[in-house]
Amino acid sequence: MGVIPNLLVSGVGLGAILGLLAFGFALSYWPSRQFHFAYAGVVVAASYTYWSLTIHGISWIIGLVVTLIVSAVLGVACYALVYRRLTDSGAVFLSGFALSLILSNAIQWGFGSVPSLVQPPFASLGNVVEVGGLRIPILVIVELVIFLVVAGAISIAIYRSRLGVAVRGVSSDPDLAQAAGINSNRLLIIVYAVGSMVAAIGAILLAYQSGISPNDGFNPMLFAINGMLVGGRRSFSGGAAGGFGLGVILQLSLWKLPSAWQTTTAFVVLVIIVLVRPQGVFGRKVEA
Amino acid sequence: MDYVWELGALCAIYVIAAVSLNLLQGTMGVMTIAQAAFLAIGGYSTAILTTRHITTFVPSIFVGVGISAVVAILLAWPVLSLSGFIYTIASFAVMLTVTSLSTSWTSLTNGSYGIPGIPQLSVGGVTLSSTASSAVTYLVLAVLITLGFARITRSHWGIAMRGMRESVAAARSLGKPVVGITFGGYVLSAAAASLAGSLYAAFTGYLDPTVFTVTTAFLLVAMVVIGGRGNVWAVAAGSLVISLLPNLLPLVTPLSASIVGPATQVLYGVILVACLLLRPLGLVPERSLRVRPNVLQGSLSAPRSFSGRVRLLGGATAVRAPDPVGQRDAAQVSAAGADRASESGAAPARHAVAAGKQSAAAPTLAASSDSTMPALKVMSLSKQYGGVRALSDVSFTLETAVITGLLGANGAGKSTLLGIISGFIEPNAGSIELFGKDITHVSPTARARAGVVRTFQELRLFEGLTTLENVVVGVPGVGRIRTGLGLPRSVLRTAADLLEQLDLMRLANTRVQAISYGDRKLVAVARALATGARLLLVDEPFSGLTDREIERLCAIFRSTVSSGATLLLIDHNAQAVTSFVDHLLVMDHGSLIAEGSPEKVTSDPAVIEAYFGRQVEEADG
Repeated sequence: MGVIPNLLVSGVGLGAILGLLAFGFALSYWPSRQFHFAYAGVVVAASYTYWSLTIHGISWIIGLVVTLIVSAVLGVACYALVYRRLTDSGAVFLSGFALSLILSNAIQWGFGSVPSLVQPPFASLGNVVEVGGLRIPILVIVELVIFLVVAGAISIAIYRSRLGVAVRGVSSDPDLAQAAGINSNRLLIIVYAVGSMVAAIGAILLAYQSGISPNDGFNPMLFAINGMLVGGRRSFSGGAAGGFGLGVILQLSLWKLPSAWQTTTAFVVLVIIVLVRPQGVFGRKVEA
Repeated sequence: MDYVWELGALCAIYVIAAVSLNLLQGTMGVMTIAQAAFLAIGGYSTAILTTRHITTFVPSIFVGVGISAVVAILLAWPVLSLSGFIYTIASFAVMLTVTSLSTSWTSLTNGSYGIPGIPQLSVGGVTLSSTASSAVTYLVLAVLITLGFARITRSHWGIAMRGMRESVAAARSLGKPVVGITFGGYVLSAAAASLAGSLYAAFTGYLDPTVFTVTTAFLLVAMVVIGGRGNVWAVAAGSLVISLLPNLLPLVTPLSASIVGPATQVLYGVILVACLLLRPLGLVPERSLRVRPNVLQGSLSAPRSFSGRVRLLGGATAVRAPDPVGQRDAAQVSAAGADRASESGAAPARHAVAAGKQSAAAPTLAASSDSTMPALKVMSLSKQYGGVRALSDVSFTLETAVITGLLGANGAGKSTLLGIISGFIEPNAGSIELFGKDITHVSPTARARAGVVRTFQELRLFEGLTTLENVVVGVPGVGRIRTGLGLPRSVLRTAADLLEQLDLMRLANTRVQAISYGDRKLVAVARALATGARLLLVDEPFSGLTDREIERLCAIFRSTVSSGATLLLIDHNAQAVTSFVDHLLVMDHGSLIAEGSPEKVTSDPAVIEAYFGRQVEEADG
């Protein structure tokens, strides 16, 4: 088997993680239009929470639940304590960066800067299955399944439930939604909480995949945002798909490019998409 | 003692970098995370060229500045087309790319091992071997560069940049060279940042990829935000605080060396969040141009036909005889210390430049009013949006020095027509001639400079600027390189004349976001009049105004026309328009349905049927 199929397999793994992260970011971004830069800090905080619990012998289920709660609290705190009080979108962006600086450096302060490995809860996750000569790690399959289930379930909820209709309403026109009696503040608290939980799941999978280190939030977040923008304007499932697609493309680009160029590749893709198709690959065109 | 000098030199470098970013982020409103990339380019240029003995220090600075200028042009190009946060993300990507390049391009940068042994600063054979002498040189440079940027910010160029920050479309409509201003500002900023990088490399003698990173870029942004976006000296002070913090922290707290790094970063984060929440405009916010009483008194006669006396802030009204010394005393624009010399009588050359411009504009006005050539000829204009025909086969002529009204219900195609004449919308078919010259495919900026200036229905004022500054941006020559670097007094005088004429002088130093709706409309008109337009397109001037305000506006329009300009008023206030204009056009469903004198048009049965009938019903209902 050649290089490309193997890159494709690892691309699916990376794509699933970036897809989750992009989806989690999109959940709060489209309704609030707030650039939640502290997302990077939340991702790191989630992986360290999970790691510090499970390394002390606490079961992975409890670890997961606590991590989800911690992330949701952090995400909502960013919104309620800081973003909500700022009017200018540039200020939101900067404060998000500052919050992320605080989170990741506080973690470095407490845990040191040395990267740590995170063991999956079941040894079998380290195994590999062979399908027609192609070696597929079980972890990749698990990642793909989790991505599809989480993103799929929340997407369906957005399109079917009353709350979901409100989320879409606020995403497309906050003022009109407010006029229609939707409490956008409560709604944003919910999307920040759910978005952060999705981010936590992505963070844990990322930790299994490549370990943890205090400054490891930025790049995954940037890739995720990139994927979300490529995916399309105001489209949550499009954002997830965009993140997934970007992960696959990034891994495939390793076939010809050194890994240091991954960032550049990702942003070249973004800039081309933004210039050629501003509404994104899956986005609907909206007349300004 | 060396430690203190070392700190001084590093502070100087950060001051230069922060002040350079302030021009972009504060004055021009470009939110970029890529500024540290220019520091890296400058630093690596100096490091590579001097350690390989290709050049000495000074030429290496110019190489760095040159490369930075190229990168700056690439970065400036999408500023006007990418929406805010996407641009920020893209600049972030550029920063990450530069950092990853300096790590992975090992043959050039020596990768993460870095480049040691960069020779010390030497200028013209003199090597600054002691820390103290380098530090003093750096500090002097930092002060000079800060002075330079302060001067740019206070100049007509800086005011135009701030205007663009508030509304690019409005700046375009006034004929400001928005692309040139963006590119020029970006290159200047990049050049200073690159110089700071070179200075850093020569000072520390060592450079590796961890020196100028995304974190550096954000710290620069933090310096600008904490100091006060747009306020050069406050940003310089902010950068001192931020760059001293990691060095002062270990002195006042018992933190171990390994903790200082992350602890400082946490503190930076806390300070930045606190600042954004508590003082969103920074410790010392941007200062507007403030004009003291008497400043604009002088002997120069007003360049426009308005005869109102120049008077600011209720100052003395007498027009004084020429008195250079008195002028010098009077010409004090506070918070513009650096500009004083150029505004006073001590700089006659600049006055001549500006005065020459005005006199160049005046003859064209006169000539055009004499000529029999129509001001504007519109031929068979059509515009479609998808399947919707917004405009079909519209032709008409505007006679010179005549007030023409364009009436039509909502959706009749008035705004589309205005957009096409002013160059903001490209027609599908047809052509436009201005004084016999085809301008169908000329950009809005060039059209405005040729004399076609529009106002906007939604005003698009430069919200963060004062009334006076709004009008100053409209004055021809403002924002153009050849007008020099100061703020010519004649520019202020032209603006002040208009304010006087429109009874806006009481609001000269007030930011327009804080003034009433009626006054805002007047500011929009004043800004357009300041351009000395030959053809003024006024979109909905009367809606929302009181009768008195409408009267005042009409008087201004009449005096504008009597000085030779041509006016097209677009409104759906039929009463105000018909009672005031010389000539009337009526549109319905994208076509012209009537044209002629107001009396003739208003008695046209088709017009009554299509427009006035409905309007009366609406008014009754």
